Amino acid sequence: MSKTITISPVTRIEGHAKITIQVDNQGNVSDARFHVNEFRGFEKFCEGRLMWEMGGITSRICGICPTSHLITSAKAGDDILAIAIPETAEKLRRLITLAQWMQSHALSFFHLSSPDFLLGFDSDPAKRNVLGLIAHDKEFTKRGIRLRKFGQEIIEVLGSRKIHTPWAVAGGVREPFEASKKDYLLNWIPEARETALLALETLKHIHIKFEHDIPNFGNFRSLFLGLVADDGALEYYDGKLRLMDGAGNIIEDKIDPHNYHEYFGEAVESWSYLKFPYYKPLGYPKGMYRVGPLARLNICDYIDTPMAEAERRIFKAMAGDAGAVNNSFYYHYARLIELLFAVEKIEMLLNDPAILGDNIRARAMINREQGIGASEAPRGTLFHEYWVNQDGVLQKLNLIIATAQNNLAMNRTVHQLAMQYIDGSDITEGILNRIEAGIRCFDPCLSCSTHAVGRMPLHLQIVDAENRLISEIRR
Amino acid sequence: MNHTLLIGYGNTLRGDDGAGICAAERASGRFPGVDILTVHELQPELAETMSRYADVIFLDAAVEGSGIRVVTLEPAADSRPDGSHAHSPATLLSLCHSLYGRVPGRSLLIAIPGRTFEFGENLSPFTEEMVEQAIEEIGHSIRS
Repeated sequence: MSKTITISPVTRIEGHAKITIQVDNQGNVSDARFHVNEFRGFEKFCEGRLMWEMGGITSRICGICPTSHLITSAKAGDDILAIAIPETAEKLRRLITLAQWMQSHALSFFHLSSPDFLLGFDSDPAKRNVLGLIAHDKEFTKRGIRLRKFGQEIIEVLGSRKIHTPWAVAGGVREPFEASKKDYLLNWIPEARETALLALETLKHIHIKFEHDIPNFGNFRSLFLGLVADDGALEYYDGKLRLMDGAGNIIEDKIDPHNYHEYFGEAVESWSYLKFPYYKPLGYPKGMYRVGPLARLNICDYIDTPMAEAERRIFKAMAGDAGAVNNSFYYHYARLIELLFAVEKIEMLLNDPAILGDNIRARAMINREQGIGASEAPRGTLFHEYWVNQDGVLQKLNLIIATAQNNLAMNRTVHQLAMQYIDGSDITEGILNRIEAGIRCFDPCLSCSTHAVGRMPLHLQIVDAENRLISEIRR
Repeated sequence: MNHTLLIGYGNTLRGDDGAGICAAERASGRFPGVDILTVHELQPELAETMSRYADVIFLDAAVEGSGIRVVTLEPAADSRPDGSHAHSPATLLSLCHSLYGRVPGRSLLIAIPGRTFEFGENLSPFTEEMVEQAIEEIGHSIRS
């Protein structure tokens, strides 16, 4: 009898989701889907709110990357005011964006993925978590927690709190940087750099340890999208959109984020609350693209910090004749290169006298009825688009979130892993964990992507060809 | 070794869920030698801070109950953490012990009952009253 396997909820990611795998009468995987089953509807209930409130409101979408929503919302506000913000404000916004990358990337590697890597995909699931990791390597775990803490400290110094700070506003930021805090933050840098390098070294051993598993982790060609600086450098706050194909060819470049509608559409499926963005010229679902660290490292021409640039060159060499690094497992590698970049760039910004300026906010009336903000959140490109009336009251808004943009690729990854590991016989916990780990490569934030809140345990179902439940696993 | 750390936590946008933070903020300056932290959720890096204190008192809203409840906390025995980034007080104590080799000498949770947890930044009248009682309880709970 054919059957469907469901993993629900998926664990060690942000939000609620399940995976279903349909197996045919011969025991072969016929379909696999990653379902996101939470919904909160920020886009609807923000209608009628003042544009000025949007940073504070949308940052509540998520407890992991609220700063990305705050910054992107402020940028949409800048656009509505039709102003350029002061240099100090932009540099401070850049600083907090990098702090957000640091804390989020540290959480993803040390806290969420390292239990699989260091304890093994087949290790006891009761111990395959941060406490099991402590038992395995206390110093490594402690370093990871402290690195995340450093990112949080920067956010707190700038925004007065670690999460949900309302510090960035349309026109700039609310408070200047306190000069007395500069040395305190700079003192963290040597330890942070050492930890980022330790993480990279550890990951390289992991690449060897799992060399037989890695080829199955979402290894396929797709498009890659992200922002790059005017000179092609890795970008995180501003820039123009670049789209590369899986062979390394740049097929769109210097797209103004204001024009993203022309290039990208959002499809919906009845079985998931998470939308499926795609590149319009190729249609749905052929227009699948990936965003986030893997995409950013593929599309940029260089990184403007020395240590991260040296690692980027090694990363790019892995593409070989393929032209681009297409294996989703290497999201982890790209993420750690960005972590190192964040440490280097934060040090540069902290030593930049411009961050100590007191001209931090430009003021203006509502000058446009529509504004778009785009930035690179830890998980990929984030768009906030607002339509306001002359009083700045939201008439409509659209939020395009990084995780949603990876939705097609996450589904493809689940399918590939299921095809590789499931043959219709008994399905081990280690196999389920590999399928979850495939999703964790993308470090999805389902709270953000569905504009919902929650966390994500695992639920896996097996159903037959008529969708009858055959078996079910929850944890 | 620092004396006592008071940690108020909760979501101030969900009505009475902000009771812990409200109580911590109102307690500020009223108890000498007590450091106060307010956070949205309990994150793993708090363990390091907690390990430096003789005593820790958590202040949180409770969904049920008609009065203030004081619970003595022990490190969680279960090795499974609560989630990816937000932890319970007991799990944080467990992290304290595992990572830093010590836990505060005494850890308490003061649970403040709530009545409404819908969207909104105000406490219900009932929970307003409970917050005042919670502050009195903090006074009783601090060791000299």
